Amino acid sequence: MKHTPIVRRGFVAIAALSIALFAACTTTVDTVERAEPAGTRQAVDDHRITTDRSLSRILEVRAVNEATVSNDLLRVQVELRNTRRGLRRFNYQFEWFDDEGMIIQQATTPWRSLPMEGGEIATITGVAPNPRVTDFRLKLMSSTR
Amino acid sequence: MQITPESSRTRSILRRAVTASALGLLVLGAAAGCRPAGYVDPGGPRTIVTLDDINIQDWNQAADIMIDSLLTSGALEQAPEQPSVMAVSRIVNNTSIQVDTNMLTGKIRRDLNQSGKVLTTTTIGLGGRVEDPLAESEREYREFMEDRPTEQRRPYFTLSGRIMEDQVRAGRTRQTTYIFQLALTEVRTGLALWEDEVQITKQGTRPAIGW
Repeated sequence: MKHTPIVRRGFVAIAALSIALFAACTTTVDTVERAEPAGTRQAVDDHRITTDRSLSRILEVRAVNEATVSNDLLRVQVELRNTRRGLRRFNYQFEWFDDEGMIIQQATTPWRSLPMEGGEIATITGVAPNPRVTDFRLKLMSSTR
Repeated sequence: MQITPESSRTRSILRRAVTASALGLLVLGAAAGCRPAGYVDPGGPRTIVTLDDINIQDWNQAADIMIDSLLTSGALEQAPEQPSVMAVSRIVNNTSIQVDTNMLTGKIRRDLNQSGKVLTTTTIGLGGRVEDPLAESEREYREFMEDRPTEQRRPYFTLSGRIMEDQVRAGRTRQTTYIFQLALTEVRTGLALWEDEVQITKQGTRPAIGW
């Protein structure tokens, strides 16, 4: 379909405005860290179930490691990176399991919000609610808005 | 004015665009206005976010972060008798809204109790106000009947805190920050063995469903 000059000019204006808006919205985070990390991390071999391919492209899980705190409580730390150039909002939740694989029901295991700037690396942590916990599961999702 | 085939086509395209946009808006408006009531997970990301209140997810997140911080601090292991006894002291509300501070302390107490690291007392309260008056009167009755004092464990720790708010505005956009501060005090020495602060900031022009 051939467009008239007015419509064509309108398209050009919208495209220019979109590019300007996109450029204004992209702010990325640069990171500097020690070349050889001083701390020794106890890495966890993870298994991932991906249902949202766009989320897995945007949010990269860089590392999962665990430690014990308060003598007998499992603590899990997950390092994430926003691969996009602008601010993205994610939500996450930890679930905890005992040595028989049964979930530990808790009153407060809420989803937590995680806003991340473009390119930002963020670390999230979860502490097991009691010493019976031996395993965990991390759930990640994009913002519902 | 002369109407050329060119300008007539432009008008036709514009008219169609306007009609399509109006229809789209109408459908969206109808969908937004007809939302039947249903259940949502109170700890999930589909709850309502408002700027003038501490929402359920704010209480949940603040309590969750505080519990993690307290459990990882190692402060609870410093009590000679394990598990130690903890009582909740005063939580000062310095916000402009009326809140039940038990929304915060209740969750913290319950989760710490379930962690096995702390026991909470319901018969010792600030200003003599006990949470469980029946347990307290039953204890007094036993002491009277048996003619000897019962072994009541006294709190080794107390939990106190403050909730504050900060509100700013830029044009139509408003920003509210709720600040939760808690301290765990060792009764014997009066020293705060653990202190932490959680800030929850919300920004927008109007309430929203989901986050």
